[in-house]
Amino acid sequence: MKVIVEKIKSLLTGRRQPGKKGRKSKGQSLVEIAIAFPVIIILLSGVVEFGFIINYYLSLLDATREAARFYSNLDPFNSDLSDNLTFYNGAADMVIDALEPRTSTDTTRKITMDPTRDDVVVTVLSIANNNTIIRYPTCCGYSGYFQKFFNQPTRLTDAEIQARLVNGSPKTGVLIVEVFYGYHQVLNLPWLDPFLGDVTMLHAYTIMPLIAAEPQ
Amino acid sequence: MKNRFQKFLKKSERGQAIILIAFAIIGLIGMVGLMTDGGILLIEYARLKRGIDAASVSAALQFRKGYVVNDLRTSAEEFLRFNQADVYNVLVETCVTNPGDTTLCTVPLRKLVRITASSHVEFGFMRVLGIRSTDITAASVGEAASIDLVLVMDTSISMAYETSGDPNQLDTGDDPTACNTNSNCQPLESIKSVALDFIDTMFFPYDRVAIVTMTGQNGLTGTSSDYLRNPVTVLALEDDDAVVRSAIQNIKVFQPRNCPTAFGPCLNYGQVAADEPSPAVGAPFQGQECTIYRWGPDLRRGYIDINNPGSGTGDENYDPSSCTSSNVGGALLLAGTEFAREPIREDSFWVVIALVGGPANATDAASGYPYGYCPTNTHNSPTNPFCRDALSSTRHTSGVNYDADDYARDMADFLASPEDGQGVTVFTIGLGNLVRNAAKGDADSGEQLLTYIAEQAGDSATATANHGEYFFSPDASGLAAIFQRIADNIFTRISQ
Repeated sequence: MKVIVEKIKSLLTGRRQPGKKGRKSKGQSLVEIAIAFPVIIILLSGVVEFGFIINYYLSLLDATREAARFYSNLDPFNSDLSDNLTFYNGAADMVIDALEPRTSTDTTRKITMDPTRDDVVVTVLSIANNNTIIRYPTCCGYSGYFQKFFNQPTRLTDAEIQARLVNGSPKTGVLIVEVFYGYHQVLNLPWLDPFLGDVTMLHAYTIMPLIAAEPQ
Repeated sequence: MKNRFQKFLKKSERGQAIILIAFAIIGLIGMVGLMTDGGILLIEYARLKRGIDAASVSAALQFRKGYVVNDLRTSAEEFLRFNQADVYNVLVETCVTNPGDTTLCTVPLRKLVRITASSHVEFGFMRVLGIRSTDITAASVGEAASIDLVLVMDTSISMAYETSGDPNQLDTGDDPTACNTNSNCQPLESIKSVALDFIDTMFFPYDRVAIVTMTGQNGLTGTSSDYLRNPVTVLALEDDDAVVRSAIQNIKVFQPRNCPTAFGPCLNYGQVAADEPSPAVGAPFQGQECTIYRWGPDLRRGYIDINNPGSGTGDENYDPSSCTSSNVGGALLLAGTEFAREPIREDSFWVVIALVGGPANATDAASGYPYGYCPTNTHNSPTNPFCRDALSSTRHTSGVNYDADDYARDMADFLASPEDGQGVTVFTIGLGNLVRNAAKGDADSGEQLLTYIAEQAGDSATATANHGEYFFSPDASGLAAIFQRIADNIFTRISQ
């Protein structure tokens, strides 16, 4: 470590390191570090950016979990068994509020959804004993999943859900809250573009039981 | 050898930095590994925790009457898979599987399920440091709320109207003394049958049921006219199925003493002499009467004015406050206080189901009101019904116009308010024509009151009560479907 410090010192001051005299090694360290330095910078900046992505992803995951857990106690149907859109809107808004707390005193990092690109998708499933899946909402132009901003379709299709069912499990109601968020690089370094692109679409979701949707 | 090595060290400064960096790179990769694999570990743990939470709720919701542990397990595994938690060693525990576990075996018992699962995480960069993988474990306790239910039953004499003759009025065949003995009072017996079916959906001893009747149940054995017509708790919160069933089966229609032995309501038999209102022995049932209202305080026509004793001016006092018996507010008050009975279960779902056959017209006694609140402008009024004003929308908080409807709404607020009340969810059932067709005042006074109790009571500017729902049935035949809907509704609220 001391050697490296001396090397850097000598580079910065332009003086030779004590005890170095050979002409052959002049500038050699500079070349070596010049080669290694970009690699290290790319590596470190990539690690920092990756840390930011993980941080955002965990925040998205927490937001979906919070909304799904809260709304798993509520009823997605009106008394006439029609779709209760207040339920779906409420769940989506809860995700958005969790990501971007609206209290004026809160100075923590906020994740702001872009209504032209991002989305919150809320789906209710009614799964019978024979693994038949019925999706809600179906009213008001929705085809089995609710989109807050009409940007992204659900990624948890019937086939995807069918693949995760456990044979012999009881009939159940299911609430799925998905969030799609276009992640911009925080460091905004050009050499990370080939790896991350300008916008990386993050997708997080939580699936909770919803007893109100359990088939009778 | 030593010399050669020293020579080498002396000569070869070339590539020294590369060698150092080569060594440093191992540490660097270790650092990067710590960041990336640490991040992956966090994500995997978040997924596992998310899956475990969903699994514990799901398993708890299967904690139903007649459940098998395998249902709990498969349900938990399904939600772990839904949430992409790649787990092994899924452990499902309840008080039945772990009898000594103090977390799961509470007193009183609660519907608790603990799910524990582990996940195996493979590392990428950390392998450089010799750490190939690790196991993470998470556990979560889910609970399906136990239910504390108070069943409020209208037992006024209208619960015998359908025993014979016109189902909307009291006939000679509707004598509660007879139908209570024969257990054939209608619609009460039908209501009891539906209530017993409803009790089948309860999971004893986790759930508890109490019963409040809107009138006394002691009948002829009672000694106080007030006691006879006032609401009573016939069964405190009870977790024994057989005791609850027995209590429901023993509910009787309001059966006051024969006229004219006491003030307040009484059962009238046979022709009453003009100056001596004694019932004729063995005479046919004439209906329910209220001697104090008919005859004045001494039960004699034309003698003493209760407000002007000794005046001899007769029966000017038509105060009906000792006669009415639809004390909805009093019944709700008793129901609300039942949740404060030890042992209090604050984690359970508190719910009241009130089955009422008409609007309110009585209250509990209060200071200055020995028979309850009953404004004077409702005494024998051509427009106001007994003890409540004509318009249900008129709400008084106190004063001379404070009536039975106001009292019922206040008690409903106490029952439902999450801030300064009990925070109970209330379901109301209006049964019979009187709910929508009262003779005086608002015809739907009963329906307005019951809707308020179930769907509006307890709300304030800062809090909304956890409301139930109001249902109406013109007769007992519609009650089974209503109770089923209430059972389903209650069931949707028990995950926590």
